Amino acid sequence: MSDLYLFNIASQRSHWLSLRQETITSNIAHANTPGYAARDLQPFESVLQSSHLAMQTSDPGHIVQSSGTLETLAEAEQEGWHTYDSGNSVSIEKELVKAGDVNSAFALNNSVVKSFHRMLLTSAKG
Amino acid sequence: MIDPLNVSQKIAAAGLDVQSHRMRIIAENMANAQSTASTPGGDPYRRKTIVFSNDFNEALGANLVGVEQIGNDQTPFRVERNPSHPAADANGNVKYPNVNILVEMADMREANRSYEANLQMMKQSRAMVLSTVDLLRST
Repeated sequence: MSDLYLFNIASQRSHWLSLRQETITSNIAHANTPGYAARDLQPFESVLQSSHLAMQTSDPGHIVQSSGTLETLAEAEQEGWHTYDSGNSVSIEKELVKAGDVNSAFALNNSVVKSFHRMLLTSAKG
Repeated sequence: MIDPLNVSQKIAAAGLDVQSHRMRIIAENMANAQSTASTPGGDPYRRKTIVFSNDFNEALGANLVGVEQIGNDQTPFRVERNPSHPAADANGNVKYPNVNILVEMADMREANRSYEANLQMMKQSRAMVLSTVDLLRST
């Protein structure tokens, strides 16, 4: 069953999407906090590629590089639309647009998982 | 590890809490826009301000928003001449609060908008959790 890596990718993606949702919520909650810089996650593509390049260890002394689930999701500071005098760079409109994207991507991801699961069940039941 | 979607709902809840606190301060300022002192020559109501802070919560592993301090606005009071007023000083001047209704209204709009945005995030996170739970249903 090693060819069926779709569930793995789907779960990575939903994890990434929920972390992004958390980051966006945090940005919105801090929309009026002085000195807060808006943050965002690395794009999913780069997370996925870095997770494919995880190194194998052949010796117990080797340092294991993480396979890129949480650690590679470092939050990169992003360029905001504008910055207020108080040093806050959150734009509520921009964050809500991103939240809408996350929401529809999550729905799509879940539908793909659902239909793939249905296909799997069909073939398993015969 | 706590599910990020639950954490996101908690962050949004903290945001809602902070914005409603801000709304309370604004309401206090508006209600006291004409509150003078009760003694002759005394200071009237002083406008209150609210400052938010970025607190790290160890249990959640996330940055929640909180109230840093509730301060007093130090701008000078508005002075009007009205010798018949009970709070008038020896020269007949009365000090009125340093509250500007227009500033408070603008602040209220902003609080309102931020509150709605937080509420929207909460709804969306909830919808995402529910759509994941829906995977178990049907089929």
